[in-house]
Amino acid sequence: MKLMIKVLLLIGLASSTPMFSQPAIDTTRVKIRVGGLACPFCAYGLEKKVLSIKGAREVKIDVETSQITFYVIGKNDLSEKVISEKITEAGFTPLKVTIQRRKHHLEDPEKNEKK
Amino acid sequence: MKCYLLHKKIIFKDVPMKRKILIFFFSQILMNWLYAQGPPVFSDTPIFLGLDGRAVRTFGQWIKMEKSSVFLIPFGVPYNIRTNLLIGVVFPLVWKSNNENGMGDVSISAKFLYYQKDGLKKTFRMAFKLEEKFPTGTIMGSKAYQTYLGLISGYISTKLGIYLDLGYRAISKQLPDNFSYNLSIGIPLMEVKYPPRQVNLYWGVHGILTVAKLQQISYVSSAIQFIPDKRFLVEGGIKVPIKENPSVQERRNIIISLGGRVLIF
Repeated sequence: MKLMIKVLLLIGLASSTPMFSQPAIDTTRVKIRVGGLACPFCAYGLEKKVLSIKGAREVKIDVETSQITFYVIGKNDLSEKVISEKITEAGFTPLKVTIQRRKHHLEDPEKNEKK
Repeated sequence: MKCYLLHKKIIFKDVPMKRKILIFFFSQILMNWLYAQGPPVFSDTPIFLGLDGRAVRTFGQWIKMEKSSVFLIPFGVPYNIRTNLLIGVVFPLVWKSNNENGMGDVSISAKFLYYQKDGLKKTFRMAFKLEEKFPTGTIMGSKAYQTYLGLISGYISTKLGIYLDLGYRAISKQLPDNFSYNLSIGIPLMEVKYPPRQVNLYWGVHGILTVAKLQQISYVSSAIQFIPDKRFLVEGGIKVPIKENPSVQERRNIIISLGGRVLIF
């Protein structure tokens, strides 16, 4: 019985903590409130500009809330100033930039963020 | 890339104004029903797409006339020198139904964004446009140098778009200069989101006022635009003349345009 409990605990632990199989990686989540985002067809240039940031992925643009969210994988020296410049270069106005740095697992940054 | 696939002139002579208006609205409904997609852009826009200078744009235009038809493909290369400065070159290639082909008038233009006021889900922008058109056209062309200076403004929100451009065109070889205006209003019919899946409707008034003779040509337009993807849209539109130049022996007509645009990066 004790052995069964130990085995079950080990299985449960292994399945709930992928860090055993994959190391945690520095992940930066960036949220930007953008002014002037009124034309979805024009947002393609904005997405392209954001993706030009080294390591940027999972770009989501919500026109209704004027918010862009993306993740940067790996260590970086991203700052509000750098991100604001990118948004301005794309032809929009950065209103608010939020940068959150955490250690996450690569598969699903958003899922890890919710945890 | 801007691609007008069809641009058809329909002769519309001796039709009373009431019937013209009826046909105008009926054709609009018909177009919406048939194509559920879009208009040609009858007005310019002050929004630069943030293309980083790595875009190629073109559009095709098929013009059916009384005795022949012409297919035009102007290749445009816009380049963002700065965020607020865009230059572009357009090389139009022309094919005629009588197997003639060649180049149309080449133009170089620059747009300078000098005012931008952004808010949440809305923007107001104004830009100057300077364009020089050269008489390089071997088949179709004005055979004169044309210099255009215009002011483009636009208020765009997620619920409404208002575009206005005003300009003056100076033409060489003693051809009359003209003022031109384009006013368009657009509304989205579907939820505005990204990646876009959107249908927009546009209405507009357009005109050219010849300076020397004080003659005016004006049109009303209606158009629809379908955006199925973030890099591609299709559009169609119709222009109806409401006032024409009496000295020109041209028959009144409706102009129907269909096309699309693809952003190539």
